Amino acid sequence: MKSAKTKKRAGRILIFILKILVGIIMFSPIIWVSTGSFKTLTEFTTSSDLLPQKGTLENFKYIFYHSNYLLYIRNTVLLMAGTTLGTLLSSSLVAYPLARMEFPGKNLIFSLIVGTMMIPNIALIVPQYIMFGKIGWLDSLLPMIVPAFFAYPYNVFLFRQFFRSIPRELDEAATMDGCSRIGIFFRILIPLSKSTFTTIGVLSCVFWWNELTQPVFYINSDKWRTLTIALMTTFMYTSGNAFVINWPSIMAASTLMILPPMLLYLFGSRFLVEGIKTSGLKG
Amino acid sequence: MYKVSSKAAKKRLTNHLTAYAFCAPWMIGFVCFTLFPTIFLFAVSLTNRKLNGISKYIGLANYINMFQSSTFWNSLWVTLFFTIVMMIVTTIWAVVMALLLNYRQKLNGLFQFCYFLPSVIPTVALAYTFRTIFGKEAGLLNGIISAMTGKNAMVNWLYDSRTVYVALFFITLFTYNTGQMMLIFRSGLNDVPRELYEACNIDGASPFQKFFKITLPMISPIVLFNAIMGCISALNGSFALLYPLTGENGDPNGMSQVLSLLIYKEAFSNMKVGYACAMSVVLFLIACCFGIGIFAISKKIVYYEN
Repeated sequence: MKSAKTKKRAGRILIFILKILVGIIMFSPIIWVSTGSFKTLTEFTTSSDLLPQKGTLENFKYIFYHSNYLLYIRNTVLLMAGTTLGTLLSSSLVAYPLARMEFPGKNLIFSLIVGTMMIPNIALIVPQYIMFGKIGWLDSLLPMIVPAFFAYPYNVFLFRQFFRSIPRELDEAATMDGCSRIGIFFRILIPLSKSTFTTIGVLSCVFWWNELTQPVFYINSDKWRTLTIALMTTFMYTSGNAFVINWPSIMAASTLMILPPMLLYLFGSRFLVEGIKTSGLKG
Repeated sequence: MYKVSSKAAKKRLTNHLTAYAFCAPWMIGFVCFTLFPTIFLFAVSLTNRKLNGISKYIGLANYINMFQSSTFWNSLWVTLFFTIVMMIVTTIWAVVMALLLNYRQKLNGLFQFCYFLPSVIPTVALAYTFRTIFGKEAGLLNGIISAMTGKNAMVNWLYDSRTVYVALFFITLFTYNTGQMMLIFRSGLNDVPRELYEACNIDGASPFQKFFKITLPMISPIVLFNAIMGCISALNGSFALLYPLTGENGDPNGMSQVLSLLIYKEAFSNMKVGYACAMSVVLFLIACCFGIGIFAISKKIVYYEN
C-alpha cells in the first residue's frame, strides 16, 4: 500500500518536472527575444549568452528615432480598427437570418459560407491583387479593410453559432410588441451578445496585429507599412559594401509586438482563450 | 379567408426579403472577393500576363511549363510534406501539452500562459527570433550545445540541408495552430466521462493503458478534425512563417519553398503573373481536397455523437 502511494507521488513529481521542461521550451524564445533587445549589436552577434552583459536601451531609441515607428503603429491600429469594425458589423448582420429566420436558399448560402472558409486566402491573392490594382487600391489599407465590411465567412459562422443559442421566444415576443426584424436585431440580439462581439473583436484584432501575408502583397511604400512588414524591412541597411541586419533592433521591435498579445492574455484571457477555443471546435 | 392568406403571403414575402437584405453584405462580398477572383484566377492562368498588366491568351502553356518544371514539382512536394508533417508534429505536441495541463497541479495557470503565449505572437517576430536562436554564430542553440559538449558548435541550422527540417518543424510547435489545438483538446479531455477512468482504476490499468484504451479513442474525432483544419491553415499560414524565415527561395536549395512562396516569387520577382496563377490553381485544388476530407470526417463525427 505504501509503495503504491510513493509510486503515485513519484509520478506526480515526474509530471511536474515534465511540465516545467515543456514550459521552458515554449517560453524560451520569448525570453531570448526580450533579453536580446537589451544587447548591443556587437554583443548580439558575438555572444550567445542569454542575459546581456550590460543592458542598453539604445535599440528601443533606435527604433523610434531612426524609423517611422509611430507611423507603422498608426497604420497597424488603423488596419485593426477598420477590419474589426467592418467584420463585427457585417458578419453579425449576415449571421442573424442564418440563425433565426427561415427563407428559401438558406441552406445554399450557409453551405457556400462554410465552403469558402476552406479556401486559403493565399490561393486567391494574386487575382485579388490584379483586381485591386485595377481599382487603384494597391499600396493602401483598402484591400484589407473594405472586404471586412462584406462579412468574413468564419466570423459569420461564429456569430451564427452564438445567435442560435439565444431563445427564439424572445423574437416572437418582440414581434408581438410590434418590433421589426431590424429592431429585434439591434434591441435584443446585440445587447445579449456583447461578450460574443468582444470575443470576435479580440480574435480579429489579434489576427490583424499578426498578419503579414496580405500587407506584404498589397503594400509597397513606407507610408502604409504595418508593424509586421516594418519588422522585415526597416532594420536592414547597407553600410559600405556590407549588408547589415540590425538584429538587436529587430529583437526590440519584436518585443514591442509581443507585449500587446501578452497583456491581452493577462487581462482579457476570458475573451482570448475562450474565443480561440470555440472558434476552432467544429469548424 | 382569401384576404387573410394573401396578407400572410405578403408577410412571408417581406420576411424573406428582409432575410436577403441582411445577407446582402455577404452576397456582395462573395461575388466580388471570392467568386470573381476565382473565375479570374482560372482565366489569368491561361494567359502570359506580366506584372505590368500586358497579357495574351496562351492556352495551357503555363500548365505545360509548370508540369515540366522541376522547381514546381519540388515545391509541390515540399508543400505536401511540410503541411502533413507539420500537422502530425503540432497535433501530437498539442495533445501532450493538453494532457500535461489537464493533470491538476499547482501553477497550472502559469504553465498554460507559457505554453499558449507563443501562439498569439506575430509569426514574423517568431521567425526572426528563431533565425537568431538557430543562427550559426552566437545562436542560442549552438551556445547551449557548446556549453554542454565543451566543443564549439557551428551548425547553421536553418541553412543546412540536414537540419533545416528539424528546425522548421520545431518552430511550427510555436504557431497559432498548436495553441488553438491545445485549448480545444483540453476541453475535449474534460468531456471524457470520469466513470470510464474509475472503472479502469478498479481493473488496475496502467496510465498508458488508460491513455490508449480510453482517452485516445474518446478524443480522436476532435483530434482528427482539428488536424485536417490545421492542414488548411498551414497551407495558408506557411507563407507568413517561411517568408521571413527562409525567404522566397525557400533556402537551402528550395527545401522549404512551399507553393505560396513560389507563387509570390513568380508573381513579384519574376513578374510572371499568369504562371503564378496556374500555380495558385494547384494550391486551390489541394485546399479543395483537404476540404472534402473535412466534410467526410465531420459527417463521421456526427455519427459518433449519435
